[in-house]
Amino acid sequence: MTMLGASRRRVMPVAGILASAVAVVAVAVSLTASPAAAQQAAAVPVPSDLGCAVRMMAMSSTADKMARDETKPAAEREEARVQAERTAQAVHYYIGRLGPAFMAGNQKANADREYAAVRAVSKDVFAQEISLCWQNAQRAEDDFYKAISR
Amino acid sequence: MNKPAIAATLAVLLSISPSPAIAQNAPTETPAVSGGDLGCAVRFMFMGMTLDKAAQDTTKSESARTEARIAAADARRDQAYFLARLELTPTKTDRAEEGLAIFSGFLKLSTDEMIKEIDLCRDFSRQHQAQVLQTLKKKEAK
Repeated sequence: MTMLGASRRRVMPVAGILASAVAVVAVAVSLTASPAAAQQAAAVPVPSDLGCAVRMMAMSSTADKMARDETKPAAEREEARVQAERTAQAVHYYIGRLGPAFMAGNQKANADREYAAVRAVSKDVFAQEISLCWQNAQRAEDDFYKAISR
Repeated sequence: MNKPAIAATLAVLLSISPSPAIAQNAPTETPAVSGGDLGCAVRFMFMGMTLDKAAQDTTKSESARTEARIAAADARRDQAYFLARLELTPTKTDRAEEGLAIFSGFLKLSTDEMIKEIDLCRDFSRQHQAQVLQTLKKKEAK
C-alpha cells in the first residue's frame, strides 16, 4: 500500500458523508429526516464559520459518546468512532477559519447567539446545517487529495 | 510520496485565493517554522500520510497500528486547521516554489529535528484552538 493509495481510500464520497452525518444526527435526536424536510434543504443557509464550529462540536461529541457506548454493537461503535474523528477534523477546520476578527471581537456574545440558534432550529434543519458545514469543511481536503490522485 | 504528487498538492494549496472580506481577517501571527502556515500544512500532510501508512501496516502490532491511527487523526486535525488559515491568507505568487522548498528541506532533517518542527506547529495550533474551544465549551455546558 502506498501513501497515495492509503490517502485515496480515506476520501469518502460526498453522498456517503452526507448520509453518515445525517444518520448520526438522526440517532442523536431520535428523528429520521422526513422527505418534506429534504425538499426544504435548499432553503437552509450555510451557517457562519463559528456556527459550523459549534454544530460540528455537537456532532463530534455525540459521535464520540456513541463510540464509547459499550451497549452498542461493535460495527456501530466503529462507525461512530470514524465519524467522531472526521467531525473533530471539521471542528479544527472551522476554528482555523476563526481568525483575528473572532479573537478580537465579542466572542462570548457570538457564541451565545450560535447556541441559541442551534436550540431554536428544528431537528431537520439542524441535520441539514450539519451537512452543509460538513461539505464545506471537506472541500479543501477533497481538492487536496484529488490533486494527489492525478 | 513522489515529487510530482507533492507539486500537484501544493498547486491546490497555493491556489487558494480568499475574498477581500476574508483577507481582512488574515492571521496576523504565524508559527515559528519555515513557511509559517503553509510550512505547517506541508509538515502535517507528510505526518498524516506517513502515519496512515503505519496504521495500515499489517506487519505491525495491533497496538502500534492503533497508536498510529490516532496520531494520524491528530495530524489531519492540525492539517485542517492550517489549511483553513491558508484560505484566510492572501495568495503569494511564489508559494508553489516555497512549498516545494519547505518539503524538500523538511525531508533532509533528522528525525529529532522533524519532531521539533512538528511540535512547534502543533503548539501553535493547539494554543489558538484551546482559546476558541474554551469559549465554545463554556457556552455548550450551559
